[in-house]
Amino acid sequence: MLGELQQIDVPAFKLALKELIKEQQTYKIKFKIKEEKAKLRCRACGFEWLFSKTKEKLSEQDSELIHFVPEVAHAYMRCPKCKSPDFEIIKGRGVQIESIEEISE
Amino acid sequence: MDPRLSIIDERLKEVKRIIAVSGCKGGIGKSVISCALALQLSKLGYKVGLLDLDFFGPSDHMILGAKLSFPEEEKGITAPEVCGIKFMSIVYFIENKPAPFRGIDVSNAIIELLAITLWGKLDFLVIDMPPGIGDATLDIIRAIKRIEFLLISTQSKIAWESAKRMAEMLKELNVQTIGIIENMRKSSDSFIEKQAKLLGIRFLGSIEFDEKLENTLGDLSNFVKTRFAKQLRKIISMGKFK
Ligand SMILES: Nc1ncnc2c1ncn2[C@@H]1O[C@H](COP(=O)(O)OP(=O)(O)OP(=O)(O)O)[C@@H](O)[C@H]1O
Ligand SMILES: [Mg+2]
Repeated sequence: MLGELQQIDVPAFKLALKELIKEQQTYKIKFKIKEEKAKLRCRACGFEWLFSKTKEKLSEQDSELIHFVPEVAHAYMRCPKCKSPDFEIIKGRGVQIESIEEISE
Repeated sequence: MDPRLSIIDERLKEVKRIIAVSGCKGGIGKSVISCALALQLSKLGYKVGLLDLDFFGPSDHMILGAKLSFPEEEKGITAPEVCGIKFMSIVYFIENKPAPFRGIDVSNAIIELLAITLWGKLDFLVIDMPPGIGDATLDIIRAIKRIEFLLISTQSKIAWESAKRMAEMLKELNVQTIGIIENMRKSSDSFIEKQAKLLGIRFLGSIEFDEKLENTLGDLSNFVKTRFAKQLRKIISMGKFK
């Protein structure tokens, strides 16, 4: 699961995974890559919003900084409803391994 | 599952020693000592990195008088060189803006910073810790198993009380402690030295209160000439930093 806030280059990520799979021969491995929209929630008023909806207000450099360290969003964004800086990232923060399954043949 | 934790080991692979400068109480000189320690080790010919982990009051860039320019990015972020030291701080990302972080944000940002920063080959990475035994301390212990702590205390009973708690916790967690430095010494009282002995932690030495220090912050050539810096150099030369 690739969170929007981390802005990972998906084709490059897939390529890197393919290389990894080639390196080891023991198992057959399949990956499913999901992308997740970043969602934020205000702790003060409860309002929830999508990062992409407020992104236009950020300069390119500021949004790049947020992609490096998503928490620094607190320095650059405010709740669109009540202007509080006290919000949380509830979805789409980083890279997650959602599940690992063994598939028998 | 957090894949970032396994990246951190990889990122710090070529760093020989990692020293967290801590002591729990606020305002006891952790930041000035971190900077002076990094500068002195670098002057001795070691390759040194400095990481400011105080997200609420990042101050090392001010002490060093660093002109910040955004670090280069390629498969991670290269810690820019400042005064011969590789330097990383949250200020590169928040600039001069207030950044209200909750504990969980601090924790996430610390792990992120450790996971993206490229240090290259270093003999020492000095980490300036925020006050308290909170998120930063617990995260650094969780993420860097071979971390060593350098504790700071003033002569105050109150500062010692916190440093002691910290030392006890580190012992309990089997984290290595290099020893304790007494800072801002104003009297010949040897309370800290005695207490350290009782607790079984190494007393590394004292640095006197130096009223000239404040005016040299941000002015490197004079900062390293202070009595403060000289006394720290003496402690470093005693052999615990090789
Ligand atoms: N030996 C000393 N003599 C005189 N002043 C000192 C000495 N050590 C530190 N100071 C001064 O005390 C102040 C606090 O120092 P510093 O910021 O390094 O403490 P800190 O422990 O990092 O604080 P914080 O907990 O806020 O991070 C600074 O103004 C510094 O110049
Ligand atoms: Mg400090």
